[in-house]
Amino acid sequence: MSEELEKRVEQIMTESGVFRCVECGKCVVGCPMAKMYASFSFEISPRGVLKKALLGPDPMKDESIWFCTECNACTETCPEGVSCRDLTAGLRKLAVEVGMAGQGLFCQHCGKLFLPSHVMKYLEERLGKVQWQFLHLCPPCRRERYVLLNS
Amino acid sequence: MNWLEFYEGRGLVVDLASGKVRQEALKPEDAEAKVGGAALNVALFQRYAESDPIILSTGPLTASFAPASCLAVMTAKSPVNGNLYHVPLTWQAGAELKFSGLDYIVLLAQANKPVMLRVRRGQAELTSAETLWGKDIPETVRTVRSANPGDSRSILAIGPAGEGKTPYAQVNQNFWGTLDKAGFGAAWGRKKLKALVMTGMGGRVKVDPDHPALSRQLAEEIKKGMPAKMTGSTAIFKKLGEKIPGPGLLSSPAKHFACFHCPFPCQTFIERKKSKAFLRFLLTDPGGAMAFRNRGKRAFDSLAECFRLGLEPMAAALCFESAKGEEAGKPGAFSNLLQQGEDLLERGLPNIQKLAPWPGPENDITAIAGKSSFSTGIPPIAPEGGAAGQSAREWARRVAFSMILGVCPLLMLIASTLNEEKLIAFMGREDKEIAANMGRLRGATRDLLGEMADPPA
Amino acid sequence: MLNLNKTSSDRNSSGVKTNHPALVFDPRLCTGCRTCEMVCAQSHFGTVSSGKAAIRSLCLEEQGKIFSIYCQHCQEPLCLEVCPIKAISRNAEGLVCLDSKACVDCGLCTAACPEGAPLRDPETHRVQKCDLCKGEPACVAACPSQALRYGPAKSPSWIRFPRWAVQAVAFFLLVIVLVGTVCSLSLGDFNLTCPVGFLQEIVASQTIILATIASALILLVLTVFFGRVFCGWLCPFGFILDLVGRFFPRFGNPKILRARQTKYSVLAASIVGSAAVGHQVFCPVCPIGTVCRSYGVKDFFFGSGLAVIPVALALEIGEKRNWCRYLCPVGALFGLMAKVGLMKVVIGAHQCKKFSCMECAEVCPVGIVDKEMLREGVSPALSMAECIMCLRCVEHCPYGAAKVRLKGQAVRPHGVEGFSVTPVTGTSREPSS
Repeated sequence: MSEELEKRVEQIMTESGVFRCVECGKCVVGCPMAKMYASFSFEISPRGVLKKALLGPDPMKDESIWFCTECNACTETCPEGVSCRDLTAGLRKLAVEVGMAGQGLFCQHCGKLFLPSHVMKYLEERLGKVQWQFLHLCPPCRRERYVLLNS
Repeated sequence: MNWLEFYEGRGLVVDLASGKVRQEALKPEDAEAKVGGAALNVALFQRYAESDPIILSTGPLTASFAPASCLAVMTAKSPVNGNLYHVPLTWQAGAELKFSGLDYIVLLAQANKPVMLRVRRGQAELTSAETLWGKDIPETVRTVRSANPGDSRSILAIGPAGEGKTPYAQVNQNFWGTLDKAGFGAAWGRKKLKALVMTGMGGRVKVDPDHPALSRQLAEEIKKGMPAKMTGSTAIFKKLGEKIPGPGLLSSPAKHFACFHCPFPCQTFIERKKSKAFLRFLLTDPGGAMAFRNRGKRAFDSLAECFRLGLEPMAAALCFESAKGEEAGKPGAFSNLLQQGEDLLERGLPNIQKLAPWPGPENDITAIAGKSSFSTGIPPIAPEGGAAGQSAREWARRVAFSMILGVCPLLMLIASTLNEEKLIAFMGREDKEIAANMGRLRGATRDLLGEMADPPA
Repeated sequence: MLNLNKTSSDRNSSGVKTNHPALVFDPRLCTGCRTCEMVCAQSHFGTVSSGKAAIRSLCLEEQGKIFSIYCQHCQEPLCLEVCPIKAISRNAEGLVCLDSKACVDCGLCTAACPEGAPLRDPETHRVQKCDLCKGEPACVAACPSQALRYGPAKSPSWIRFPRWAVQAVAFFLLVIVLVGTVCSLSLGDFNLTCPVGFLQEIVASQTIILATIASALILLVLTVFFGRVFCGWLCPFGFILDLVGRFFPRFGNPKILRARQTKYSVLAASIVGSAAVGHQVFCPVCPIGTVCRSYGVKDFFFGSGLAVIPVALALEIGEKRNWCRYLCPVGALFGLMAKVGLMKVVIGAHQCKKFSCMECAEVCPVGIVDKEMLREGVSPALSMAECIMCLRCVEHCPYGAAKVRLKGQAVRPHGVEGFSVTPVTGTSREPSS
């Protein structure tokens, strides 16, 4: 990992307060991922992503950052004010910038990253193998499309 | 009800030269003496006069349940004649400014490079607008919005006209024109301020549980006072006794847009097929439309082109009239107007060296409006029910107090049933509250109008 | 796992859906004043703030479109299916409720919703959704142009009375009372001839008796005016299918029986076959004719030709009115006439609740309402060649969206710029068992 990238990762970690983590595990308790993924494990939990970032290298290349829904429940329960959501979001953004965002889904209209692929897989599990176009649009574009179809 | 709760209590002071953005508290004595809107702007202008200020503010009733509570007011010295003017900004500007948690924004000095100011609740930042500089209005708005889809409800921006500092430049809102007839586009251009993006979406506006019902009641009264089928831009023209300036205005189903919380839509969305493309715009500027009516079928094309470039339509139309007519028909005629005013004079290109007056017949109201510090884009609609010979004063009074309270002056002129008492009721209905607020409003209105302030007999 | 074809059980005794509380929004009346956002926030949070509202007035300024987005309280809520902590439920009144206390604001409900109705407050990051204000929606009362109305409205469920009555009377007359059948019927000077039989006859015998053309044209002209009303209201075999079909379980069709064009092939084959053989080939096995002929002085429901009826009936285990959809050449000919006919059944997008209701798709006996298009948020066009004009969609639509119109009348919003929609076309779907 180049120096520049290391610096960026460092910055993301500082801004999300990762170094304050005391490993209490409260973040995992409230995390909805436990109810979404049969394969839920330490690896993809907030604590797991945090540990991976701390130990490095290249946390943004890791697949484990593409399971989170960014709901922020972890941040809200954290007694130390660590934001695992910000860490994950920051790493994802970095991954997009360096072209390593294969696990992300981009809105078919505006091109913005709006859903991690694992979350989409979860949606498909729950909804069935449906071919609905709207699922591949981010919510603002989806609303715009709905308006254009009906007015 | 603590009347100060109707204010956000905060203003933003932006020093464009240094790039510093500072928040300051709204002084209660300012609110007490000036209430808000245009009157507050005068006080702020004087306070910051040395730094070439442009002030934008809302009133205490902006974004409240008062009818047409959409207003923000922009005040500055006009680059054309150096006089102070107040421009009403309707549509979403006032509401989004208030939702951003601000009572006013003061823009000082000049930036070295093109900048954009973005405000939202709790945040304000000046960012570089170098990639936006040179873009026309629709391109600018699209670019800003594509960075954040679903955001940026109100964008005030200048187009190539403002960038070129021509005195016929306007500050536009979103894709269309505003009632800025004072050439503030050039003032922004001088400051290298490309856009002000208000990403409100927040808001903690003080309201009472019975306000929606009160607002509904007033809306019913207003509707009763209007003849049926009088809606959209047609209503403004009919009230003025003018003919409709262009084709397609009455085509049904015409879509009529209303500004924030206004029960009476007075802007028609024009949509016409022209060969392969569509001409689409919102008729936000009745004066602008009328100014081009001598262009017949091409009136709306000209208006839309002015909106696109950030040109002030009333002035642009006058420029073409002053030319020999052929100039107006040449391709790229509008682009010529984008150059500096002095250049136009030297090159013998069409120009006027003044603010464009209202493009209609002269009467008492246009006389008073021309002398006032209100934008000449506010239609000279005579308010009904006044005593004979008083309509001009009543016009000025209504425009003044609406632009202080933060409600749209056009509705005040169209709906004769609305008055200060009914609006003030949204700030408290107990007798002593009403008395106190009326006192403040009357004082501020008087100051704003100078000797034109005596209420009608 | 979402069962896409489950039918809701909340119908009253007449089979009409009862609990779908819904706000109906008419974009033609909306002026974009955002008062709905204001009162929504005010009634729930005591302050005016567009971010806190559960309804959003979207303005697509360049296209001049204004529209309000809000929760439609779907019959089959997708948000309910995907919520990982089951914070969303549907109560007995049909209200889809989001439990804010349990909600962790993951936004998966928004990700699953066809219109992205659950809205996120950008300040607090909390997700919220319309709760219909416990039965008196504030936005409805406050809208200055009455663009929002509160349903559920009543549907014209009386339509089934005249339809069953006409079907029964037609059955009675054609089968039991009148001598002759749809194939060929005389009542004094009045002659009626089945047009398909007529076509087969003229190619078989290679003669046209001019006097008989009029009697063959009667049903065709009826179809040009009213669409395939014969199939929906008069056909005696159709009547049997409607009556008996209620008791059939349905398993979907095998691959060979999925193309609506098949019946046109049957029609072509009947005509060509008749020309080749020299007499009508289809009429002896036509279920319609067979039903009519089955009742006679001596031969009450007797005869070898009767074997065709149970076979055609048995098709009902595939889909409703399976015979009519894929095989009936009489329907095929009427379908061709209906294509150039004067009437159409349409679903008006302004009233239609699309993915949140889908009632018409469930009751349509010939399955021409494309459920996938409804899911995508589009009110589909209906093919008049396939529609049998039974008007069940009109009968069951609580919002007055399904209606009969003249061909020339413009109805739905048309055209989308900047977005392409490629929905699945109206072929039958395999139900998931």
